[in-house]
Amino acid sequence: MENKTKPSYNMWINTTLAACVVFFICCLLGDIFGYSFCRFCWHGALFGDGYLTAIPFLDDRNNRFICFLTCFYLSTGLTYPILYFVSKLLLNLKKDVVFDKKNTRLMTGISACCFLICLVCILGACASASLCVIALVGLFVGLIVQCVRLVMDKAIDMRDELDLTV
Amino acid sequence: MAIIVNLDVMMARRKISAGDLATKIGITPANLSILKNQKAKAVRFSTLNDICEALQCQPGDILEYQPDEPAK
Repeated sequence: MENKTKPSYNMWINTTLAACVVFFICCLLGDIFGYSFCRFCWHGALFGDGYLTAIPFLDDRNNRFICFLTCFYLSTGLTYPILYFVSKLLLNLKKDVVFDKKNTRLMTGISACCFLICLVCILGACASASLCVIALVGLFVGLIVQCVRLVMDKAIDMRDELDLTV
Repeated sequence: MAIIVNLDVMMARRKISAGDLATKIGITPANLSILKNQKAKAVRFSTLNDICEALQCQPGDILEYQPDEPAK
């Protein structure tokens, strides 16, 4: 069968795949130089401000930094599965596999990872209040992906019904 | 499913093969098989019209309602 996919469609998929690779390299660099990066952010007062005073453990600035560092590594760790799921999704789209349950499962994985990042950052916000912003971004992206997944699920059901209409 | 398609019964009565019927009504044998094997979720009026015309029968001869058994 002739492939009628527009060239611009494939170009966008390739561009997004390339962006995934760039993000992967950024994450890898973030993991390698994570400690120095976090120290820079911490001492540059980008993330070292407010904390939850009710927890005595967090009164020590070093303990707060350890919490921040843990959040950073957990978040970057969760970014790898997201990038893997996104690249799988894009490769499926490239193969013209669009309305498929495989894709909705990948989207569920992406949103679950986003929600986990949100959870990690909310916990980390006890040590550094600025992490709330990242938690909100994670929650927002997770919700958007979840909505798209639900729409796609419905579209798959409708397509199945249409396929079985004689 | 409560709606039963008795297409194979009518085809046997009219002594017509699936391939011939599919050609007569202008649908693919695969789609006719979906209809015959109770896998179809919907039937277009135009298809039903063509089947009735080809088999010289009424829609009621092809479609039958059988109530589902209540869950125990």
